[in-house]
Amino acid sequence: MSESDDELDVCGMCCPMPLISLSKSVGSLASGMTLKILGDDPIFEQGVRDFCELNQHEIISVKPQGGRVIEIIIRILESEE
Amino acid sequence: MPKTKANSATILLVSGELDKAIPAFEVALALASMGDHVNMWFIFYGVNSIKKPRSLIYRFKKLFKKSEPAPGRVLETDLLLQRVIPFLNSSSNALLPLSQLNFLGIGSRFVKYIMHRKGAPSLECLVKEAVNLGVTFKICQPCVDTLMLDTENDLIVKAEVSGVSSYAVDVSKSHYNVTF
Repeated sequence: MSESDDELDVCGMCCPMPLISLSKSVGSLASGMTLKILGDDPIFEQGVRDFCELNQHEIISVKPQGGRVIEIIIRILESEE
Repeated sequence: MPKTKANSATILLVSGELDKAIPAFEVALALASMGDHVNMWFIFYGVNSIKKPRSLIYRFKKLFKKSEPAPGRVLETDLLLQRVIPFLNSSSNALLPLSQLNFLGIGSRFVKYIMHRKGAPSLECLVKEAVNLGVTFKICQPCVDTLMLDTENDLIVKAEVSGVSSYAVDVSKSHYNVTF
């Protein structure tokens, strides 16, 4: 699998900070680009899934990285405005 | 206007007081009885309305017990002093305080007695009915972690530990949103 276009590390952050950081990062990326996110919050994965569901982004992969850290790669899809 | 399909509702309970918990559950039950899907969210002391009553001895013993992993808990960042919170936060589903005229719990007991005399359902009864009607209970994760809440053993209902993102999804899908 190819490397992602951008990376975001939200380890150590608690709800809702990962969501805010994610929203900022996604805002700076163009449609079709991929973003790798690392987080260790207990509800981090659910948060990314909810974000992607509401904004219609695509989740490419979800990989546990040992401990509580989870790596998620998402593809940003253009939202019609 | 007759409705064609079931709506959904999200109710957020922030306050741990009897006079706010009862309307929250009554609104939830009314909407659930009409056939709507109801999500109830609990944050901070709002969780007290679905907490099991625990004796002083039980809470005192728990002060010295090692914390066990539970959904939504991060044990590595726990503080020793944090254990005082579940010890002091004694109010439960059986006896929540009133926001006014509580008088160290006497007011709350008096209001409960009056409601019993009038045939009004108690909070315990409302929670049971909510479970029977299929209301979904969700608790905010930072609150679970801060209040050292064991969601599997301390609650009288089955509750899911979620974050503000799930709340955003629930609210955007819901037709009715109420906050108490």
